[in-house]
Amino acid sequence: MSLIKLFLKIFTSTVILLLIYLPIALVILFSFNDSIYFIFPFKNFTFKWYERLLEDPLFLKSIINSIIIALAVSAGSLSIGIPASFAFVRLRRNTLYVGFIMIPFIMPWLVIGVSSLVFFHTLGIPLSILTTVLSHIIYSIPLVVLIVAARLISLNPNYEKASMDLGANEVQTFTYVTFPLIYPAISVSALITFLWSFDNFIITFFTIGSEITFPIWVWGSLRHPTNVPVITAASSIVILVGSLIVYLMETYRVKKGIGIYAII
Amino acid sequence: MVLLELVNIYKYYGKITALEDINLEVGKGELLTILGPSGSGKSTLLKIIGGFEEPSRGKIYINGKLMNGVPPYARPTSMVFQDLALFPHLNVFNNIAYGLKIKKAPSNEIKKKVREVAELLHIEELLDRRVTQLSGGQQQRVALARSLILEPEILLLDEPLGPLDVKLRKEMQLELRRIQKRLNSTWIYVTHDHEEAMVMSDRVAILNSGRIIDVGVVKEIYEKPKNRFIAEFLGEVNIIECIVDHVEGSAFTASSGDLRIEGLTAGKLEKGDRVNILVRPEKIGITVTPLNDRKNSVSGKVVEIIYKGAYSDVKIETEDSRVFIARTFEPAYRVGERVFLKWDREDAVVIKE
Ligand SMILES: Nc1ncnc2c1ncn2[C@@H]1O[C@H](COP(=O)(O)OP(=O)(O)O)[C@@H](O)[C@H]1O
Ligand SMILES: [Mg+2]
Repeated sequence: MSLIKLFLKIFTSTVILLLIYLPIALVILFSFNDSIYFIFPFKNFTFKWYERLLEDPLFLKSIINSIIIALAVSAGSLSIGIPASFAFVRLRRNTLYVGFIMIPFIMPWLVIGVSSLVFFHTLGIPLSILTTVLSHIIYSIPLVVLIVAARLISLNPNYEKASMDLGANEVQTFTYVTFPLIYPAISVSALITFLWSFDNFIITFFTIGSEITFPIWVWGSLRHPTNVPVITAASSIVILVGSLIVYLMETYRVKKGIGIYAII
Repeated sequence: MVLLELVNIYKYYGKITALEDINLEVGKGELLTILGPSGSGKSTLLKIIGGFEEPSRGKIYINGKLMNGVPPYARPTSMVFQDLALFPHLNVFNNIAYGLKIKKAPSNEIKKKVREVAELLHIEELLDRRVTQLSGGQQQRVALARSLILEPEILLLDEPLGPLDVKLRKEMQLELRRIQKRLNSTWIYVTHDHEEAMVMSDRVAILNSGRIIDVGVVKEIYEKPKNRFIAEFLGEVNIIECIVDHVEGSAFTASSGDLRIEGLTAGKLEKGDRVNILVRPEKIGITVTPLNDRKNSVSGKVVEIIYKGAYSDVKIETEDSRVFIARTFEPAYRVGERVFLKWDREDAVVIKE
């Protein structure tokens, strides 16, 4: 028994370390390497890729655009996804529609990207950040519904009944009971839709037109071999900032005593 | 003074009839128990009074005002749910204070009232705890405090002591009764446990398959049940089916095989009527010495002794294979022993078939 446990422990830690963190560590390592080739032995230590990165105005612009898009996608998909979750859970008879809202989830990203392009083109809407946001939202809604509806389904309906019984009307009950109880699910879906949108390349590629986002910038830079180490520097910064945010959130979560179980 | 009045209440869930022609009046300061087996419609009835379900037909009046269509938050009732439904994101204090905070009561008044009700229920030390850190009995008290603080005209309790262990349940029954009397408030208490109903209530309404089959003072219903179902539902009972031989005023004699029975009846009986004679186990005396009087008595062998703590139930089988149960506080009998049973004619209840 304990042998199996030990094996599992070593196995999971090795897999996580090797498959996830080793490539990341390599990227960070090579971002300080004075060579455009990713081979050992390590040449001289340098900051020059970081200097080159900060000199590139497109990099900063791409990051800002990505954040703007991700925020808009997060807000947009939540404001559609949350009411939709309520509709699905509370009006249980409409099960068929649940299947329909999940369709974007099943379609390949490439198909959504291409069809969005055709759609906007047919309507004569010029491609821009806005068209990217709209396409991302379509794909994010199912994510929000999946997470929020799962929480709503497991929510004991007697909490809301008890609140109404104690004198709270529908709005007060939502504000003081329902929302606080599903809040963890809402914040998780906000985070996931943000990250998903920030990371997305394919749908963005077809709908962004002449604008730029971080994944598009990476893609563009890959075509100039001398620029490749700059990508490692950019990746390192994104990884570092991302880790910092996750660290802060986890500290908050542990401090508040919210268990993993409370998230979904 | 009538506080709550239910008139011809029906409730259908699709094809299921959950409640059928319910008529009930509850007076101010009364504790009424609704007693019925699982699925008999007890929770449905409470939900209709509390405003969580609308009746399919019929009218609800509280203080003479029609309550149909009035949402729960506008009714002068409060419910302690079967699963309590304490708010898991709030601590004990905020759970109890919830109703007053919604009413926007001043914070010093809230503090004062929470302290008062917490003292009443002995939970002053728990106010800072998370509700998930409480034991079942403590959660029970918090749920009760959360409702009582609003001083509802009618408190509705849905099998609130269900999950507690027997000892704690007995303690809580007495304590709830004490609190109800002290506050002189009106409670409707749902349970499927007839012993609990006897401890708790002024009056009891017995519900079966969505119908109220009897309402009354619990002692009277127990001692003079209207029919076999009620008698059996309220605890162990010996039933003898027999035919009336002779009637003289309120006294009669009847027989069942070799058995000769004497009884008293308030109703009308005639020679040849088929009747059920009901005798509670605690009304039957056991002895090992043979009895002279053969009326209202049987003899048989002890087949089982069921130990129940303070008393024991002795199961006796007669020569003609009838089974009787007698209750004794001194279980000085052995299985296989021959014993004699006897009861007084005043203790037998007669029900016409
Ligand atoms: N929401 C509902 N939908 C359909 N049937 C229900 C619903 N609530 C209760 N019932 C049915 O009504 C009957 C009475 O239920 P209930 O009032 O919960 O009984 P009790 O509380 O006495 O156990 C049961 O047959 C139950 O299945
Ligand atoms: Mg019930």
